[in-house]
Amino acid sequence: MPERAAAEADTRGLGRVLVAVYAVFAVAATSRAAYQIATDFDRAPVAYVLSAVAAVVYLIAAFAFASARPGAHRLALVACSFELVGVLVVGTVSLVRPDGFPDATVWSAYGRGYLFVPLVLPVLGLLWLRRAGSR
Amino acid sequence: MIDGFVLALALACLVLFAAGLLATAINRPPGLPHLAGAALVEIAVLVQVVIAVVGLLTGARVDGVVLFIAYAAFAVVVLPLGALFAVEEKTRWSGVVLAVASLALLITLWRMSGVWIGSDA
Repeated sequence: MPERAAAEADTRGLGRVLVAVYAVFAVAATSRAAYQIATDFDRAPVAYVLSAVAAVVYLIAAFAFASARPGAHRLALVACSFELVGVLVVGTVSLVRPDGFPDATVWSAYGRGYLFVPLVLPVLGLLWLRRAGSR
Repeated sequence: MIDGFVLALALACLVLFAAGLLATAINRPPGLPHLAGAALVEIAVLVQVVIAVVGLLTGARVDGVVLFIAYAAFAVVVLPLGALFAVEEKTRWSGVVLAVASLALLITLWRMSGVWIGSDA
């Protein structure tokens, strides 16, 4: 059924876009977290640890979306869900208690410093997972 | 970092970005002209990075050497890696993948010029 094959190819293609964006964010977040923790940890330990957590989640998501292995779909689901909760919680706290975050993290202000991609990305990821899982 | 050169590079990245989106919009994977353009931009990035490194070695100042080097390293690899990933499996969305890499390069160049102070400030 050519229609179905086309839809599957489309879904795969979209999945690769997600992998690309997650990979870029994984690199950016990991470098930033490593740099902050290595050079100035005492300045904002909570914020920097959060950055590190976000970096790990992005790395996991990038691999999970790229992998065709059986558990990858669920792993991506967990990663995206965690990420969405993280950006919403950290975003809210960073606005309500800004003194707790003297340095911006990826999730501060709902990812405002990153064009709100950290907010939109997990939503897109979850939508894609739903689409990919329902075939 | 040479201001005019960086600006031209940034504009080239924007063109690549738009070309990537366009490719997906017309349902074609990135073609040879598109990839050739990306190769040209990559050469220009390498030239800029070499100039910047030479500048650093001869006394130019940056707001964080490690940071600048990290940006430069990323700037060098992002387009080739993105292009490889985009065409490895040619789908309708390959253009967007290349667009993502082009945008990442643009932002990295912007950050590099942001921390670059220069030699005579």
